[in-house]
Amino acid sequence: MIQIKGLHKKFGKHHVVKDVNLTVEDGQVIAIIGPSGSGKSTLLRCIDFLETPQSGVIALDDFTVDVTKASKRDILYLRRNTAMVFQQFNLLKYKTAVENVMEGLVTVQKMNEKEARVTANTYLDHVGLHDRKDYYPRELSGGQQQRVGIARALALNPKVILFDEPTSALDPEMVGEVLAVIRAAAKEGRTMIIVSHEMSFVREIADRVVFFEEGSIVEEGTPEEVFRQPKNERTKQFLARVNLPFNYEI
Amino acid sequence: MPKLFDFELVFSQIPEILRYLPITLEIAFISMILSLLIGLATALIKIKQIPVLRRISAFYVSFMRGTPIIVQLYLTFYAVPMVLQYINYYYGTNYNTNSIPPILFVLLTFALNEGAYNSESIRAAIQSVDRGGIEAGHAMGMTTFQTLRRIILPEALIVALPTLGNSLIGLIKGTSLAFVCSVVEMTAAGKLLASRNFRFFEMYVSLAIIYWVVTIVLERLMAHWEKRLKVNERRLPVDDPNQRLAQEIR
Repeated sequence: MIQIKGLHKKFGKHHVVKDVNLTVEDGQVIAIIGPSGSGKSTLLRCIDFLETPQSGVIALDDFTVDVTKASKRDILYLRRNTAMVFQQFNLLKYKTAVENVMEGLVTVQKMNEKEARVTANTYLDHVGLHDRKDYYPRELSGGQQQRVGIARALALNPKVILFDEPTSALDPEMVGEVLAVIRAAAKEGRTMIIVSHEMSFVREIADRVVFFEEGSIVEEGTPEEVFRQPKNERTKQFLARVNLPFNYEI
Repeated sequence: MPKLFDFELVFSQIPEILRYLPITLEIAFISMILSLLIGLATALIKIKQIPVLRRISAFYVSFMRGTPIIVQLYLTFYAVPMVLQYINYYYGTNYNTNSIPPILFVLLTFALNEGAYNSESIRAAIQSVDRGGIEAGHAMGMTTFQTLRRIILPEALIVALPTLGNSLIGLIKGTSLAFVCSVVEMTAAGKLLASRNFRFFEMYVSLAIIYWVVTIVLERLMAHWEKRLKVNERRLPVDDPNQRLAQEIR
């Protein structure tokens, strides 16, 4: 379980995340939607301290960190028990697909090389890249790179996986293969927080949808509640504009 | 007509001078390694903007780049014994200032001088490393040192290698100044040998040939190493004609 309480993040005078409270139970998939620049990604990046929040509490199971007093060890604990899938993939360009997946296992989890390779291979098979294991990132398509990124996150076996707009940098025809891999991970019962603009996908896999605007949570509920009967005016506007093709009941 | 230029001697005396090549290489390689450590430390100080050290290292780099190496050699040659004498005087120790092997002065000076130049190439290389990869390392839970060792330095090395190779070549030729600290390396030995028959010109021709050959060999080695490090650019992907074309154009 991951719990965020009263989280604030400012970039100078710009208040990007304002008093956010969010709880994700084990095995749940939470989707964060909202307009660009509303602070969704920043919120996600605050969870593993890629951005340092100004105040708030982050709790991972029974490990609680007050962000104002977070020590290096606290930050490492949060980072080692969460994994991030980035919008720009962020693979190591001088390492092959399998080496990218192994990196965290060997360096951080101190697994021995052989074991790590076996694990990495398993996860690459899992995301459908069994024939691309020894390719370097530049030899892979965007969709394939992102699947390596997801395999890397899954292999670390974290308590929660954070997806930061995983399909936003992809060609439309590659979005499907990446979503399929995320969907499979969700079905396995992985705990995930996904920031995404893929509304129909979010609606399909999320247990809960959070609508985020100007740094705060405006509306929260099941996909049905948020997509079909949004209460907040802003949510209605946003959803009308992204224009879901199937905004009706069957 | 007397023999103005003894062509044969140029080649016949090469083996005799080559006996001193190990000293030349020793000075060059040891001070190169030291200079890399100094350069890395200085570069990190500058990147991390560490308060007081930043000023000191800026002063050091400026001094080393602003004064001729031969002056620096004389400075160390006189300064180190002087400092030792002061230490002896104030702390009652009994270091023998004459027992310092002269090669230490040379190593120290070349390491400090080269370190100042290398610090700039290392800094530029480190700052050229892809932010995304570093972020991925942090997100996995790598410590600062692990990120440096596993992600930043390997990538920076590839960028810095050509420049560092140049500075090593410069260093090899620079070692010919070591005689000012009474170290007999190749050039100094050559001058001594030539004073037997006063065939100085032949000696300098022989020396020029040796330095040139050594430099060419080193250049080749560096180029080979660079190619090996750039693993991800080595292979032509067979199954993607577009990428193959792009690589062939490059």
